[in-house]
Amino acid sequence: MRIIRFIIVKEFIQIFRNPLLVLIILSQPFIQVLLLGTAGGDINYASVYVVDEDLSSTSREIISKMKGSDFFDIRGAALTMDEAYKVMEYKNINLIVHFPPNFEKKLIKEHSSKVQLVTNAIDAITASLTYAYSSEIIGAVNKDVAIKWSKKSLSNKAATVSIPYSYWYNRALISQYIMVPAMCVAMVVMITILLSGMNIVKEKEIGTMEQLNVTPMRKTHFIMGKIIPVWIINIVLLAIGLILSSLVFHVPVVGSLWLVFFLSGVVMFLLLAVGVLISVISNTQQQAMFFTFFIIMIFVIFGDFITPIDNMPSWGKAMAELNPQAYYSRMIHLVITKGSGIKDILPDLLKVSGLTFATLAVSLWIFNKKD
Amino acid sequence: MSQPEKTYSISVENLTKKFDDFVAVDKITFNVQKGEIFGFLGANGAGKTTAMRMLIGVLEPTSGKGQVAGYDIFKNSRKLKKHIGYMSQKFSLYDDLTAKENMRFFGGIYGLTNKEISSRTKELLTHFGMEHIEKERVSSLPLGWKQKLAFCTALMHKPDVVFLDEPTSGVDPSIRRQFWEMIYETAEGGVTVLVTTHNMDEAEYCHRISMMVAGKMITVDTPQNLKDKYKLETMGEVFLHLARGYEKEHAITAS
Repeated sequence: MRIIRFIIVKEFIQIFRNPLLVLIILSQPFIQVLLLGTAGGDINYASVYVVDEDLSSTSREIISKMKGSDFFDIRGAALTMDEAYKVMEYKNINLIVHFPPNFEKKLIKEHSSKVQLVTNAIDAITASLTYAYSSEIIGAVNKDVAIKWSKKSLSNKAATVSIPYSYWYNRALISQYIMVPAMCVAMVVMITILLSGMNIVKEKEIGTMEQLNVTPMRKTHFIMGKIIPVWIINIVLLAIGLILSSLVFHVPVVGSLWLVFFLSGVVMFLLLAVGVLISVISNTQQQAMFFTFFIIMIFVIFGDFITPIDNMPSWGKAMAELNPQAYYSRMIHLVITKGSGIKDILPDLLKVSGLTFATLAVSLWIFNKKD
Repeated sequence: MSQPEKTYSISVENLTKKFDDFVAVDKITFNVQKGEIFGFLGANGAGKTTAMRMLIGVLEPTSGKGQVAGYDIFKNSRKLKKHIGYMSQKFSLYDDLTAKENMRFFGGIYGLTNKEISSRTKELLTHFGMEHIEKERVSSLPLGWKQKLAFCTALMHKPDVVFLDEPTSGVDPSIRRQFWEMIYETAEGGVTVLVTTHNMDEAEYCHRISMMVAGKMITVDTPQNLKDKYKLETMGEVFLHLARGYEKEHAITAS
């Protein structure tokens, strides 16, 4: 244990003697959480072009309702669809609303009529939101019209079922409640792997590893001495990240804050083990750097961050089983957003611990064999 | 140098290291007495470093026997490491730590107590006239001083045997001289020194030297005896004579 302490002290001295490194590390919570947390904001705006070939009171009512909503910005009107398509091609238009001739007449006579919605699906998420919101507005108008024109048969015609949504665990659908904890997770994953990945290979590169190999120091002690400082640094970074998320974005931590730190501490050891493995496989810091970026990319893509794991093909789900970031973001969201307790995340915690020991064992084996 | 076998610090018999088909070290046999300065000579690739790596317990020999500081190099490599010091060819202290911090770190790794570390650091730096660099970052020291510091660091845990792998390559003659004074003082204190070198002037400073050519140890003797034997003036001439002679002989038998 004493030997580990000497290594930890040495590591901290070295880190603090490198002001640029300290600056980069400490700026991470601010950059990642503040900047990226804000940048990934809600979609709250869509530009619209109207093609009204009907020019009826119903079509105007729909248009005016859209005008009245904060979400839609009516940029202009065209006489034909061809014209509107051209505008969509050259300008940034999210939606074309097309009322065909006799739209209102049909609605009155046949109790049904069609409005055409053309969404620009280059940005799929905006497109689907735009579509959903405009359908909602049209649906509302539709109901009013039905009531107005068929008063006689009001009793059965207007009896529609409406579906009010309630998004549980994030009722207001504030994306930052999801994004900011996710950014904390991404930050911890990146910094932990990067720092520990560079750590041991650096000693190989500068030649001190050769000197250390001649000492009676055990490799397990060495690895522990190397990863504990990184662990401490990341706990501090996480604390800064969570303080920012609470102060700036008012992200509520529904579950226990201690549990957030506990599960983070456990996951960090897995991330450190991954870093150690990279460090042990690589011979130069350059190799380790490329390796780290490659791995972080995979972790992020299959990490429940960009695509939900439930929507992945089976091989993607299988990969997520080995992915520290997937476990981490799942557990963080459970505890922070949903308020889950330790029982709910225990299976994940056990899997993470298992993976940690396996990764460390492989690293040690390679380390002992190679050097 | 009059003691019998029992005081051998290093004793090696038929020590061999093979990498696949390549025999890097071929059945070398030699003994080094306590307090002796033993030189390992040989051209690049002759097998000096490989031989040394086996003796310091980082490379497992293929066959043969070996004892260093009373420990078997096969069985007790970890215990052995506690009793030896090593200074590598490549400078290998931490550039971003001060002289004192480096010594403290390595002292700690060898399991010294804080008190031992403080007193030993002071003792070594004072003894070798290096107190003034105590708080200097290693990166700011000239190469010669770095090497001297590396030597001090290798002595932190009072090893019985110190291994120096080309310790003075690249340093100026005056520092080299100081360095050798350090080696002499250390050896007089009863520490055995095994040093590899290319520099034939340095070979003269050794009590005894061995010559390695193509993995084989072709001679072990005092520098004076070797010069007398071949009637040559300097160790450089002896080296060339032996190396060429061996290669010629070898080429003839091979063809």
